[in-house]
Amino acid sequence: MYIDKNTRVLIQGITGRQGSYHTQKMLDSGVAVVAGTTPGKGGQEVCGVPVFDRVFQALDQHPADASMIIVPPPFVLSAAEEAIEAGIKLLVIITEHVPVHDVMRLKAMASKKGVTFIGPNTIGIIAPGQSKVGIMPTFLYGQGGKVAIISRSGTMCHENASNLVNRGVGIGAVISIGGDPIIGVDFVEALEHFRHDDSIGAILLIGEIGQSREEKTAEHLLEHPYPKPVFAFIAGRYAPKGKKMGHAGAIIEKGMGSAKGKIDSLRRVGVKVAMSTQQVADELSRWQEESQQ
Amino acid sequence: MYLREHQAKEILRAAGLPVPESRVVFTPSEVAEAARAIGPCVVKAQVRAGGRGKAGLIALAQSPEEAAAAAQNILGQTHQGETVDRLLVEARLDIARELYLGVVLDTAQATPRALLSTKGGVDIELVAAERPGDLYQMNLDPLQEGIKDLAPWRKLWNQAGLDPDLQEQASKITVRLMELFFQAEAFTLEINPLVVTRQGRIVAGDCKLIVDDAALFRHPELARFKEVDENSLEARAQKIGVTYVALEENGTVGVMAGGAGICMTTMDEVADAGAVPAAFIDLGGGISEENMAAALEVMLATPGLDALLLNVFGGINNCEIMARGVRRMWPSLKDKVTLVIKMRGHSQEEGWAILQELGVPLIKDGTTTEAVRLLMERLEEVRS
Repeated sequence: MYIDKNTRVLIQGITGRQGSYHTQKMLDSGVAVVAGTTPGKGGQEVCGVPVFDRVFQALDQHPADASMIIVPPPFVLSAAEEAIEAGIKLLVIITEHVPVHDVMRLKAMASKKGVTFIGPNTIGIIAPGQSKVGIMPTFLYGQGGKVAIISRSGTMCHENASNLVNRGVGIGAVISIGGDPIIGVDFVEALEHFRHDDSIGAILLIGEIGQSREEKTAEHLLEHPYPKPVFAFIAGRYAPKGKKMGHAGAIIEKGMGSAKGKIDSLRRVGVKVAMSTQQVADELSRWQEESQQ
Repeated sequence: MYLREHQAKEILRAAGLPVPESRVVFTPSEVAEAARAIGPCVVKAQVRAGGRGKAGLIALAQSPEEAAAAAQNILGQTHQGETVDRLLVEARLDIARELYLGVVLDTAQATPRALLSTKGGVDIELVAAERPGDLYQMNLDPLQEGIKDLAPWRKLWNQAGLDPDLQEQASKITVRLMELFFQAEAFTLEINPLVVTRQGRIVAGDCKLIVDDAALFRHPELARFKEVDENSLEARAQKIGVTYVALEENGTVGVMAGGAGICMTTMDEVADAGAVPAAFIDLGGGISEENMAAALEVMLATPGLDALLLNVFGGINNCEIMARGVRRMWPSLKDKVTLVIKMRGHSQEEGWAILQELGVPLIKDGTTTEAVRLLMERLEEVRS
């Protein structure tokens, strides 16, 4: 997983309403939040965490492994650039409505510098029982286990993780990759991340209509057979064509990116696609029972 | 945001790209006047959807009288849900051949991708599907390195088979278009047809421009084209920072959730249970008590609504605040709809307490499937 119990987290935008609220929540669940930044607010403290004007100033005194960016959309690109220049290798961008051209630039920059970023428009990542860089209610995700969830939708992480936890299925990792047209880590990269991770026994992919991330994932799985069972769920089977469904990316046009196409292509490569949230919970609890025998 | 043709061409003109002389008009008499000034012209309906030619919404006119007659016929027609309320009167081009030039955001590779073809003027998706060899493609550097270079475009137009004496002109237009794509923060910028006139000039015959709504804050030149029907439920929802999506006209069930993914999932499961979803509201993040109540009010204004499923998480939102919003709207809610709420997350105990006091059927630990099942049971009880 990208994070573990030793991960030290910086929060960019820590003095904002959302920033300070989630800093407290992260501290409450035992995350090592070492510093925060907000230009012009250096010298302050938020929930006991020291605030700096600039990322490099924060890192001079408080080395960090990851940065959570929770600044308003117009400032996301420069915040991310600042973190990359200061040497942070993992960025989690919570902000929604980030201009897509900004994310495209960021993606090019990050790939040149070997930086991993997650989001934007994500609830972040969590290794239950260990750490999180995100805004999810920690208690919904349990205390650890063998299932990894990779999802385009943040709230669908809450839904499925909590359903699984309620059924006694343990979750080892959750990555909310975000629903925007251009994102950092995607399904394929996240799947590869877990390929050789022995702590993860099964994967749940949560996709939705629009674009072709799920179809591309199916192609990838065909070319690179996966050593663990992969389950999936696709939202938007009933969505009317040509209508934007909220997420910038969730729109079907001219038969591209339909739920049916995604479900068919995933099933064709052996992914078990569930048709309801109940079925997701049923199938994964059956998997857990069988794998424990 | 989809721009209308005349808006997109205004942007092209401002960027120094060649477009025909034209005027935007709203009445047949204005059309005649424009045609007098312009000469032989094309009268084009200014709707956003494609397929205008086939629908008879584009007419050629030799005289002001012909233009006025065409306008009479086109104005007020409906095309894919849009009523024609304005026309573009444009100078007729003496067409020798038609090219295609476009650039789209390739979201999978996270780069813009330029597309060009000497087989323009037709549905380019068909060219791509049936004769992919006729469509020439090149990905651009997102960091815009080398964006002003003409050489790669000369080469590509040459490969595409464009007449050598047109290659320089076409390449300059291509460079300008690519620059404009970045400047406008476009998703799609397409000129089809890109007309070559008998006089050897290259001119934009039509233009499709889709820009990023999230970037409009730094583009006043584009933001002024934003049109909203102030009274629509979509616009009312937008004002309070939530997204309203109308679904089926004969729908009776409203869905409210935080995030497009769970909205769509809930809608799917409602439909699977045999009910018809009428609309959903995506609450997004950071909702206040006031806005929660206002969002419920918008949902209640949906025609035909008799049931509501609230499927929410306290993530970036807070359960207690959302429950207080429900309490505010409770008098109207309990009279109008059968309500089921599934809620968990931050401050769930406080939220549950408020809802239990109101007597709302509540799912705490169940799945969305179970919440839909409970709603269906309640509806059955109400209807029997």
